[in-house]
Amino acid sequence: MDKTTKEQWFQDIEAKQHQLELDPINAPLLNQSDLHKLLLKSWIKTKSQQEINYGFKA
Amino acid sequence: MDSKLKVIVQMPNNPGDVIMAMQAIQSSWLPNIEADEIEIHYIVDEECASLVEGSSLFSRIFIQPRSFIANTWSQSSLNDSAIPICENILSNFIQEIQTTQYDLAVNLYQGKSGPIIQALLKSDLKRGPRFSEESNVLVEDDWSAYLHSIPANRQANTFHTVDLYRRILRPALFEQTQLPPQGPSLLKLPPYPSFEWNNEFIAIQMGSAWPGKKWNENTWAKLVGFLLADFTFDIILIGAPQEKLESQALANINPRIHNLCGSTSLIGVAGILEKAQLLICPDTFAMHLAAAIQCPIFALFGPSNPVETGPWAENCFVANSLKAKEENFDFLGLETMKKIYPVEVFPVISQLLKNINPSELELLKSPRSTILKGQWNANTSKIEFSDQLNSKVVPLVDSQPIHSVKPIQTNLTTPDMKELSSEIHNMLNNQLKLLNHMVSTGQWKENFNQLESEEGKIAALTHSNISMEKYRIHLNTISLRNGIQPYFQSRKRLVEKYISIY
Repeated sequence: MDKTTKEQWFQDIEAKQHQLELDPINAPLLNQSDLHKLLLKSWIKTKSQQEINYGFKA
Repeated sequence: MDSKLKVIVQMPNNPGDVIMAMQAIQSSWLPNIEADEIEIHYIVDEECASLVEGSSLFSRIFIQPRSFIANTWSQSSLNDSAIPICENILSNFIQEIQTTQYDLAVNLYQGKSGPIIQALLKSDLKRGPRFSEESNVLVEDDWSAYLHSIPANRQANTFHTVDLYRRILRPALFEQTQLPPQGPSLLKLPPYPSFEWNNEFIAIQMGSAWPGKKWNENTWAKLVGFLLADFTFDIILIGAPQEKLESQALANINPRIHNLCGSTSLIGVAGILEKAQLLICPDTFAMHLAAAIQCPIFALFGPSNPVETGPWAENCFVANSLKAKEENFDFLGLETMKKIYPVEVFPVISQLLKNINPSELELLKSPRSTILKGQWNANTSKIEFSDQLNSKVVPLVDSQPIHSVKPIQTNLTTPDMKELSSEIHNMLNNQLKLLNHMVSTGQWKENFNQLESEEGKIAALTHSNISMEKYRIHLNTISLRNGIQPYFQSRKRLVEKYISIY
């Protein structure tokens, strides 16, 4: 699976998020599986301050 | 039947924040932990795990596999297998944190993952940001809303982060009791290796994760020159491996300076600080660790606000740039550290090293920076930083000072916490002033346009005339209670809900 496909993996949850932004009243609620995906996305896309430019020896 | 209350707390990183969360947990609940009345579980990132694993404060540690998953995902060599591997590891982690039914789950973390995990946890009571069914990040309790609103107007805040955490933690379990009267005490860290050194020494950390918090090498060289000339102490430089090269330039000045950057683990730094006569550093992890083990501290605060993130310890000293207040403690400001001069802070450091009673210290008055001393105030149950030149609490807000609100303990005995609401109200007014300032100076014009557009939507919804000022306060309140960015973000549904209440 290449990088494009990996990014595609997030597309459905990103579409749901976008729909919620546009029309929060009528958009479908997020389920547990969506939350799992959101958590995975948040871990993959964000780095801690320590990882960026800090970090003592492990 | 297990009658212990079960609590889970999230503050996975960064290291300084983990230490502050531990200080708050200890101060709030130590007697209950020792009496076996409460069992605390803690969620931490891999890189900060050594700070909590083995601490007697916690019965169980969950290490969230964030870095592992991020690395696995980014490794192109894994290709097809990356997604199922990551999904599997994530599922195992969630399964683990869902095995216990908690009495209280607290999210102190301001990162994106915190509210999602908070939503997944099984708990009767939740404090701090959590994902709601409608996909909004909700901050339902007043103290958490206050905590998350601080970045909008840092200079209006008079609470240290640890004291805010304590106000979120303690009353959540013991609504009818006041905060425990004890202030900072020796933190129950995990065991750490001892450090042996033949001479007495001062520890210095030059670096910081934020460039704006750092002094340059020449400025450090001046201070170190004063120290070497007047004292016989060795100087030990501590810090991350990345700071080793930068620190070596300072170490090359004199053989009494020793560069130990990168030579210890995160928790191992505690062994060095335990033996140090004094730690001199910017606003860093080492400062919070020193506060936790009661190592004397002289901290250099350029862009950040010591009232908010200074050392949560008694008799610690902070040099604070006055320019920082003008800039609303903007972390990205690069000029504030230049306003703290070695020649102005050295006399204070010198007197501290001569063991002069802190209350008798003679301090210089500088037009560019001020020297603050942190002290525990049992009446207000918080650390307060006072200006040693006039022995008064530094007025951080010119009008409507928040510290004029009655002592906060009285609030905690009343379920509706009315006085806290008035405090948040004061903060909203301060935010409004700042907003007006930004508008009048033409800053953030794009956001203002968005604000006007939102106002039009509200007017259409309600068919009524809402004044701009009222609307801004409404919008801020909506955001404070429902989102993370207090100024401009709103959602139609929440606006409707808010208008129906007011």
